[in-house]
Amino acid sequence: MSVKAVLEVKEGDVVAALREFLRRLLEAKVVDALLVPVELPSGDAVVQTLIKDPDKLANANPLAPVMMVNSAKLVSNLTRRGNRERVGVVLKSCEMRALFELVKLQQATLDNLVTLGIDCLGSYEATQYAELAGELDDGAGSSADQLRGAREGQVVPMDGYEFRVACQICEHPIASNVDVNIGLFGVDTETAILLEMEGEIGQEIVEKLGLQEGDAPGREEAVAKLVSGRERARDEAFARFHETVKDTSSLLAQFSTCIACHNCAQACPICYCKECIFETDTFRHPSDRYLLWADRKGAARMPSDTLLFQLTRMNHMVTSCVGCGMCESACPSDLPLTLMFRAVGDKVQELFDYLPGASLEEELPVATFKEDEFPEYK
Amino acid sequence: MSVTEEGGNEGEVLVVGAGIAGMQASLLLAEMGFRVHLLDRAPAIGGLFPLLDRTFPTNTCGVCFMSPTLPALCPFIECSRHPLIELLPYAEIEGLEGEPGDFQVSILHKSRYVNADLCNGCGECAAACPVEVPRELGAGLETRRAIYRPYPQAFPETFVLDMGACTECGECLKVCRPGAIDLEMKDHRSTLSAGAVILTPGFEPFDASLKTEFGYGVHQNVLTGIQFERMLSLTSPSLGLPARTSDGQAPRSLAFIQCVGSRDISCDRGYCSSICCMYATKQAMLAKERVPDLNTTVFHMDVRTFGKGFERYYERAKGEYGILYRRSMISRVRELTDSKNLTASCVDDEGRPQEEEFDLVVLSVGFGPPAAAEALAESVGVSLNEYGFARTEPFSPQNTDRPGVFVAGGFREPQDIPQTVVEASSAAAGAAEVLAGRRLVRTAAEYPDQRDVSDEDPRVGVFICRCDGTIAEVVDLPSVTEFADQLLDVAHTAQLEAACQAEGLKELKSTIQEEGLNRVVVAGCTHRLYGEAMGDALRQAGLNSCLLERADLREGCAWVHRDQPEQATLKARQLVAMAVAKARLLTPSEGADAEVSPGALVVGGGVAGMEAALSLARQGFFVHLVEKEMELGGNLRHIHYTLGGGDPQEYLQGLIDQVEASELITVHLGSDLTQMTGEPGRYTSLISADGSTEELVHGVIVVSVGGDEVEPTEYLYGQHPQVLTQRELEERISSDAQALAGVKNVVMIQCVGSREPDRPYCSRICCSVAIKNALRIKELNPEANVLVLFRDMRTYGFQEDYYRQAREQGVIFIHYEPEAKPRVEAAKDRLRVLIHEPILDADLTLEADLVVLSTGVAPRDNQGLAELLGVPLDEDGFFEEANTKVRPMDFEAVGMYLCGLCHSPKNSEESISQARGAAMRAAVMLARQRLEGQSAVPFVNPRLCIACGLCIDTCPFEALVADEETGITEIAPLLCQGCGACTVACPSGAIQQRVFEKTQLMAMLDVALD
Repeated sequence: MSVKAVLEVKEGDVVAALREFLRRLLEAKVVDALLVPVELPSGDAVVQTLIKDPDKLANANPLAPVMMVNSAKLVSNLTRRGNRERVGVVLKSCEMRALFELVKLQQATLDNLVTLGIDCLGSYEATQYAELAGELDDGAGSSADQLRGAREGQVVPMDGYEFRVACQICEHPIASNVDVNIGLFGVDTETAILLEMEGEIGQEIVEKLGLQEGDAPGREEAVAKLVSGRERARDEAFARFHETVKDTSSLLAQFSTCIACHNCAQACPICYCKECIFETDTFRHPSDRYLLWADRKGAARMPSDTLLFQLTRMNHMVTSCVGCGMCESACPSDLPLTLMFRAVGDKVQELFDYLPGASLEEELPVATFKEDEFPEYK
Repeated sequence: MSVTEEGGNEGEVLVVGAGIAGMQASLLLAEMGFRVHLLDRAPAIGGLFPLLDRTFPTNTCGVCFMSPTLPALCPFIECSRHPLIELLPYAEIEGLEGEPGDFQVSILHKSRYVNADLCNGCGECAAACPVEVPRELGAGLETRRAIYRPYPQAFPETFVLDMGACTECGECLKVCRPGAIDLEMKDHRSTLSAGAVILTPGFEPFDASLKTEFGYGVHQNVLTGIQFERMLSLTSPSLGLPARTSDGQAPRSLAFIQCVGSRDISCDRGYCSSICCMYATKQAMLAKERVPDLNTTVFHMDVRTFGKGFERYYERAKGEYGILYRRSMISRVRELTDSKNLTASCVDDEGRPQEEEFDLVVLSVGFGPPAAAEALAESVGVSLNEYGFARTEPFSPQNTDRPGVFVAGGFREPQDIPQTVVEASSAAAGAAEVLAGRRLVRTAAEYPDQRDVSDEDPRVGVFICRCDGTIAEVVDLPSVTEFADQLLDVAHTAQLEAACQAEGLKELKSTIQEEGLNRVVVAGCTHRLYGEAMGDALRQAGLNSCLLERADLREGCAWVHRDQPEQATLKARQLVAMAVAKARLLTPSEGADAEVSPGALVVGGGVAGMEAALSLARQGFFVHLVEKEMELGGNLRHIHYTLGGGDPQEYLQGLIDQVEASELITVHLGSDLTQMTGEPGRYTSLISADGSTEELVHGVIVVSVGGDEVEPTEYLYGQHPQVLTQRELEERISSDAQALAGVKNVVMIQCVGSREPDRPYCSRICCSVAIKNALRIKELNPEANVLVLFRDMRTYGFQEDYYRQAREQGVIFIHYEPEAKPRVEAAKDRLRVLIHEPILDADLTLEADLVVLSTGVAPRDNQGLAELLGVPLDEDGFFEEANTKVRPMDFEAVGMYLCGLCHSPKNSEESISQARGAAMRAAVMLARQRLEGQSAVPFVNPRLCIACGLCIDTCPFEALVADEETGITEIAPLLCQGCGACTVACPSGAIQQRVFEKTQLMAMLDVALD
């Protein structure tokens, strides 16, 4: 059963309205704790924070257009070994989808979890955000321009800045499968925010918080417009990418500056191994092996196994990749990992008729055996 | 495997005919520890199977799953290399003397004119032979030479000279390097002893030229189903593409004509061949896959897709593939002069004559008894039925009329592969019962203590096999040997003439000891061959057998690159380098082993359960038979007469008496299986009855919990007393002599609760049950009118005779389509059935004194038992076997078997065969006594395992479980079959497999990329 309600916005301050909403969730004991982005005193960054004291929500800002970490990974920490208290987590679409993948991989559970999705207006790289945070209307908040754009289904970055590549081509700006979604697209956020809620928890929130039922009639249209724009951007990006990556050697060239820091694996919400095999003895070769390789072709690139690492990571992750782009944000060598994973991912996911993060019922392709799969390769 | 004799009176079995049935029976008996002589008239084993590239209903081959112990190779290979199976190809039986348990057999060995000891199978002779004759495989679609091998993978590999075709020109003699051809070779005779005989000579396709109206042999584009089957094989001249004989073009329209040489008394083929509807459907699907715009029409009398999963297959053919099935028989096929197209004369839906044009016509030929059936029957001393198939008595479907001689497969009755596998297993059970107590028992070989090599630096020995020249003549082996000598840690290299032969193995062993080797590479044939023998040589030399690595220089190198010797040599060097790189890193590993608990648990005390229990007991195994109800007998208690004669109640009582009298069978009535724990071969079960619980230990379990008659929900059933099910009618007729008094009109309705959206399978038996009861009504009350409303009459096999008999006796059959089902109306105490008659195109109103519903078979509520045993149910709720085609009695889980109605609808004789077959398969497991796990087991590094469970989901053998607390994967080594799927699924390398460890594979790759 789903229910829609509106949250009043006073003096156009959306962030204040959201803080108030979150505070009431804690006070009314709808949740015992909340995981939410909080602005640092420096004002140039936000960090995910687990809050139990409602007063600590003073600097919370779910709208901050930056993603330091994909919170799905944090939710995994909170829930993997069982979660005794009811925790609310504020998640963007890509975080929610990554969480679903982690649940299927038995690295997180939804037990005692209240998922609060929030329409994503796009995010900047952390360095860019640090620069522009001061320019935004409400300190570290989102600009009024962007919120106005969201109402029309068109979100553009601040002049002189760009959203992360992943956000530019993201066709899933709205979190699905959440208990509560905080709706901004197609909503007149000068006066109100739309809350879409599912199941008993939605009912509980409406009752405990005394919310008004309501709707935003322009939402569907705005979302459709936004998504079609993103799909266009995605297809163009893919086309440009295919233009540069045509054959094996141009593919290899894309990875050639990898320094094997494995930051991408760290930042990836789904890359879940306790210890990556590339950190184990399997890839700590005896010293003479390096010399042997150098001897064989006259030269050997160091560090070694970077291509194998990238391809192995792609092999392991590509069916589950939700395209959040954290890998690229974390990469000191600026490898175009987002497009790489998205372009390959779209193809592979289509092959297996699998949309990562869409449903818990859809089984992971790697764990599914179908006798009649791929008849064309029989 | 090494064997020793038990009591010196070893059991031997002669199996006559080496097709699917013969191979199946042989493998089962040999695995049990009986010596098997597998004879065939043909020069190679395999029967008709080599014709089949794909089989229904899976459209794959999959025959490799047939072997009783898995993993296994193709049964052809398994039969040819099993130490207890002796192949007797190109031989015939001339006489059988003696008694069950002690027969003497006279055998004629036909001359091959090629010496098997000398022929190396190179094929130069056939290439040189100028004589071409039609090739048997594919019924003359291609030609072969006078000296030939029936097909490339034939066993034995020895060529054979067809003296009838040979012109004695001598060309083959000139090119045969080993000098194996001997034109003076004579037939010879021998005798052997056998305790039991199994007849599995198969069946023979009908000669389509006898039906002159179809123009086979006259019109170029008329093929038989046998030829078309061959054409669709990927190894055919057209590489699997349908092609017209006249111009080689792909057809745009294709017609199948069913029942050519079946259901046709004009050519003495009154019976139904049972498999043609399915093979035509398969061929139509394959043809459509390969020629996507092909229009295909199947002309038939009834579509008989009655086996497990077959109805869905048929629906798929119609829906997904758009194949048109037309209920119309073709009276004549004519050829058009210019196009060589064909016109088929048929009738349209309204019964008007019509001509339709096709590019290609396939005659779905039926099957008759094997060519030499009469001679075989005479020499073995068994009788044949009126059609020339082996005669059997009711309720003993594998017994011929000579004790100790059993029959299975197509020679008993035309049948598909699943039924053939069932009957072959059942016949094997018969033979094993005769020979109970005369098994050879395997004993573990004695080996010296294994040397601990963990602290030694690698000392790799590379043994390069010349394979009697077959490798050496392509690959420059001296240069490969020289190359190997230079590789890191190689301490010794040697060339062997034949590494698999006793001499080669001896040299392997002695060199390991003399040179102090601690890793061994054998570079020769594929690793799929002789691994056991070579591992054995290592163990005799004091090394763990996993310290062996193989490099395939034969199949994957010399043979495939015969024309590029230089490239082949380069590849050989690379392969050896890779093998050495891996061998350096090999570590010892042992497979787990455990004792099999003796005895079986049989769940369900109907006919299937009792037959299974009795067979096991007769073979010397004890059995706990658990029955839910307070009496044995199950469904057969309600059956009072059968089509084939015989008194079911008399048979049932005899069965119960034997079960109760058996000292080895403990019957648990009113009991339920409430818990089962343990692992394959070692189960502990709890049996509860009336509040008390008993614990049983057993090695195997046979599930035979039966099925139910579907309770109808339509046609006024339950609302009107004169609307009955067939079973209720049978009970009424049998218990009350006056039951039919005053009954003038009986209307039977077929497919009630079968082939319906919510029960989309065919219940297989209802058509013959309707015929049975219709005939009984006619017998008791000849004045009564019996009308049968049907969709397809599926009286397969010899049951067709009774369908014909019913028509002759005036039973009226009216066809209906599911879109226009009959309606039953009640007006006071009168019943009326309304139906649309398609040929008259009229709505008929039938007055009925009785409406009898032919209800299907429904599975019981099997969910609980399935969960308790950890076995799957199919989409209809029946238990799901490991493989519909070749393992219809096995669950995927080792040590669990199934039979009877809980598997799928079937009649009592089919249940008996399947039960006895399941017992045989269970007996093979019990006879093994020890379970040996394979040595390439996975192992888990708990530091790396993140408990995601992907490996567990991926394991097809349920050999992996998560630790309850940590979630870390644990391995049941006896269940593991070494497939390695888990290691592929694991992203962190936490689970790896011995002998295929990542560092080993990386080392190979590293060298390969050199």
